Amino acid sequence: MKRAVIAIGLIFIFAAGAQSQGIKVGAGAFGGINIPIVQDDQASGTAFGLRGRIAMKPIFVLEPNVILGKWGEPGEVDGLDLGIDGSKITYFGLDVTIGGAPATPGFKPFVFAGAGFYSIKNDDTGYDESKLGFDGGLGFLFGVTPEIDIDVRGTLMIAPQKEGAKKAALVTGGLTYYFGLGQ
Amino acid sequence: MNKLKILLVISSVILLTLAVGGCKYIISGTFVFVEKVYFTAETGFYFYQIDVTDEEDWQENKDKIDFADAVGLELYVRSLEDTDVYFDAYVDDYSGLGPLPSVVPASATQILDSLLIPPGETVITYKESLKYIIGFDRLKALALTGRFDYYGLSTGSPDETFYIDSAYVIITLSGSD
Repeated sequence: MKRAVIAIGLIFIFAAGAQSQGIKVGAGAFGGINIPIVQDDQASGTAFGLRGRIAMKPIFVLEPNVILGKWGEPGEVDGLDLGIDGSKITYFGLDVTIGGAPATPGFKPFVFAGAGFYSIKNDDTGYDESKLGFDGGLGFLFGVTPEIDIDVRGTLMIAPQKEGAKKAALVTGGLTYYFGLGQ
Repeated sequence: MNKLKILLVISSVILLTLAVGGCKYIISGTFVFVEKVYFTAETGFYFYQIDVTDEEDWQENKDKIDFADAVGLELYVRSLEDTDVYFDAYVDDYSGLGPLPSVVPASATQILDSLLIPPGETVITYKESLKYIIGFDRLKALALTGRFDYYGLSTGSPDETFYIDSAYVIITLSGSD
């Protein structure tokens, strides 16, 4: 949690610096569902996060982001209720987005890929692994005004473990606000 | 232009890393195996050998298993004792066929330490067992071999006064093709 707070702080410090260079900068929050892929010991859960948007070029946007997620209780396996909570996921990383230009109204599709630090922890089983992982996906922005985008996206997260990886699909929606456009 | 180059380098590094490790990451999953086991609980010392290496499922999947995420139990115990009974349990490498041991060997690792069973019926759920089990690292390593020796010690009267009505071993494994 402490790392997530530090990462959020760094996002805003970096965003403020970029804005002073004439780069379009936005920030927003999002939430949605978090669906584990091929994980018998987890069920669908939730994901919430914060995301910065820094437009280096109109078509290329850097997106530092933080996600706090939780998978659901797994329920019955072979008729036996495991009775354990789902794992908690903390992620902070950087995505590179192609498309979805900021500060323009209307429909704006995009694709993205990125890397970051995943931490997966389960208080019941004691499972606790942290490693560099990857994500990617696609979505669209809908510019309600030049300052505000509605953000809908699907993300495939791949969190490598000792061997193999834990994977999940995130479907999220959120709002992004762009700073300083009226000045 | 420099910013564009930086973005291309970042994208290339991500794609290259995914290309190198990607198949292993993508074709992987976490699976839970629930195995009903049958054993009795007696006062004093007892010994069992657990061996699933001849089972078809094990033969098919043993080379795909990477590591054990968790190992736990679910036990339904009935005690006719008047007072509390305490269990200790140990695991060790599979010793194969040979004379039955009468003591816990020094090489064994303790996995239950004075587990309390009160008089009457007791259910120890999988979630509760995860709090009671110790020596997880050795237990997980032995689970990956598919067979191991199990030793138990319990207090109580010398008569047959407590029963395991049903017992399950729950193993969570991560694997990849």
